[in-house]
Amino acid sequence: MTLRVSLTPCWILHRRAWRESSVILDALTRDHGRISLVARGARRPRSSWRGLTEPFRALQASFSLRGEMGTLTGLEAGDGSPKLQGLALWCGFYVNELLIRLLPRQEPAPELFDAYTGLLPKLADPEHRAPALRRFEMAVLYETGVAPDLTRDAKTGEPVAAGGWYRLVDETGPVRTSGPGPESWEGQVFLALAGGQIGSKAVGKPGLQRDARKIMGRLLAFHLGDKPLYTRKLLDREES
Amino acid sequence: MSVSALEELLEALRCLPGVGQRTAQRMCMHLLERDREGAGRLARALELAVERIRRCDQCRNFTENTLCRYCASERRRGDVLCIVESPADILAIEQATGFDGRYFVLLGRLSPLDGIGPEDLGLDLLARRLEAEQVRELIIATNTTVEGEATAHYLKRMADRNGIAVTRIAQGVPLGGELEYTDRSTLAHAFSGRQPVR
Ligand SMILES: [Zn+2]
Repeated sequence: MTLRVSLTPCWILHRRAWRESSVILDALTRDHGRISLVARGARRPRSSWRGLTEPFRALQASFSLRGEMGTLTGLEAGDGSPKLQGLALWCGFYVNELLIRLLPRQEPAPELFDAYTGLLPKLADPEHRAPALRRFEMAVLYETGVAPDLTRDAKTGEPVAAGGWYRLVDETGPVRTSGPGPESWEGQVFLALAGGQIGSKAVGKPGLQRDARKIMGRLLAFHLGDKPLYTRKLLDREES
Repeated sequence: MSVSALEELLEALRCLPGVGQRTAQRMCMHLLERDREGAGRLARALELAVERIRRCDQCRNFTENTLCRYCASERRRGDVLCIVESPADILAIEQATGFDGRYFVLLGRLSPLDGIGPEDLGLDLLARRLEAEQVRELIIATNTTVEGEATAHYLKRMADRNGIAVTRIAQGVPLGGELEYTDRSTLAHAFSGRQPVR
């Protein structure tokens, strides 16, 4: 059965040249999830899709979908493309790689789509960038059904104490430990991540952003397996 | 069981971009049926090119010598360096502009999602040049894709570390183009990059 979709909101996560003049798109749509689309002739000099098949551009896509690979039938610029430059652009690549690696294809994810749409403009704002990234990383874990409960000790089931120290043994969540150490973090960081409060004025502990980034990095690593994100490696280098 | 010469040729032709099985078959039949002389010439030219053509020690352009013609020329100024993605871009700039500075060829662009990082673009070589040479201006002529944008940002940071001025070639409405038919993002770029009328 062929599904025909007309002008639905869409972001391109990645694209690669295919054959002489076509492009294969890895796209995130609001109602049909992450899909692969072939854009025939998109690289021809006079193609009306030229310059449109770019990541970080708000788009409306029409396509037909049958099996694994769909066919792009229409593409129009939507409203509200964020202006990403420099570090913001690199963070955008990071988010796209994260989605490509963790999000299964063809599973509708409207909430994650909206979260992505809300995230992009925040990447351009140095103050909100890091907290927004942490919230989005959590959203990806929730969407894929592997988010651990960060408010409870994974071994004992006890509520996480803001002043206690915890480490991550595996992807199931924080486990209480005796005290500070290189791989242990304070309970309040886990609680802030769980409550989406990273970056809010209420949780202003120094080093919280850095700890939150490390914790999310560890959690994501469990699901990324032995092939870490390339963009994350570049970002670590950029920021150090 | 050994692969026949025909199968080997078909397979070899498919290393060309855009050449699939059908095209390879057509090329193969043409060379063997109609133009055996051309086939021989092609084979010799390919062999010679692969053997002789290398990358310029200074700018990574293709050359048969240690330095390409632009790096070797004494008439070109060394204080302006234009960064391009491919040797084809050099040809385009040479034909269209009166640029008389030197080049650096990335042979690609930063594309983190394809695993292409700074070390794949010879940026360590460029960093050494920026430190050692008296470069006054870096002209960034990368493509206007997001990857070209990311590359430009990286180059800007490299230049900043050495106190070198950076310019980027303008992006805008094509000559003879009509605003109505210019795509939105090009028009937005052209608008924000407007210039005083002289
Ligand atoms: Zn050269």
